[in-house]
Amino acid sequence: MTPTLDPLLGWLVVVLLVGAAGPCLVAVCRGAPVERLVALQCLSIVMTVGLVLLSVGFDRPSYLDVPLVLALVSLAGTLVFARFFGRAL
Amino acid sequence: MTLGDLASAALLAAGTLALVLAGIGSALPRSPFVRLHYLNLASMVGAPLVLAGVVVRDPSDWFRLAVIGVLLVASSPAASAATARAVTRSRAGGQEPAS
Repeated sequence: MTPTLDPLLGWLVVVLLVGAAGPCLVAVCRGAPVERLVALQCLSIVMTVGLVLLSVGFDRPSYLDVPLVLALVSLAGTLVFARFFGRAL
Repeated sequence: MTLGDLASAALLAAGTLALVLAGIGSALPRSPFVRLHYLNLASMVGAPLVLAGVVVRDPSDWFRLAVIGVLLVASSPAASAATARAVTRSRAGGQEPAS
C-alpha cells in the first residue's frame, strides 16, 4: 500500500524546506566558520521539525526515532564544532 | 472541523512562521551574536509550537514528541553559549577573553 501524506503537514514541510532550510543552507555555504556553525544549528532544528512532520504526516510513528536521534546528535556536533573553532581559529 | 483541529492548525502555522523567520534571520549577513538570537527563536518558539500542534492533532505519540521538544529546548542554551564562546575566542585569536 502506498503511504499518503496529510496535505496540511505536507505543505508545512514544503514551506519549511523552502523558507527556512533554504536560507540556512545558503548561510552554511558562506561566511566565517562560526557563522556557518550558527546556520548549521538552525538547519538541524528545522530538519528535526520537518522530519517530525513527515513521520506524522505519513502516519509512520516508528519514524519518529529519526528526528529524536538527530536532536541528540546535533547537540553533540555543535559542542564539538564550537570547541574546535574556539581553539583553532 | 473541530476546535482541536483549529488549535492544531494555528499552532502549526505559528511555529512554521517562527521557523521561517529564524531561517531567514540566520542567513542575513549580520553578527554571529544576532544570528544566535534567531537560532533561539527557532529552538525556543518555533519547534515547541510545531510539536505542540502535532500533539494536539495526534496525541498517540506524545511521549516521543515531548522528548524531542525537551531535547531541543534544553540543549539550545548550552549550544548557544558554546557557540558564543567560540565566536569570542576566535576573535581573540584562540585566547580566553578577559572578563
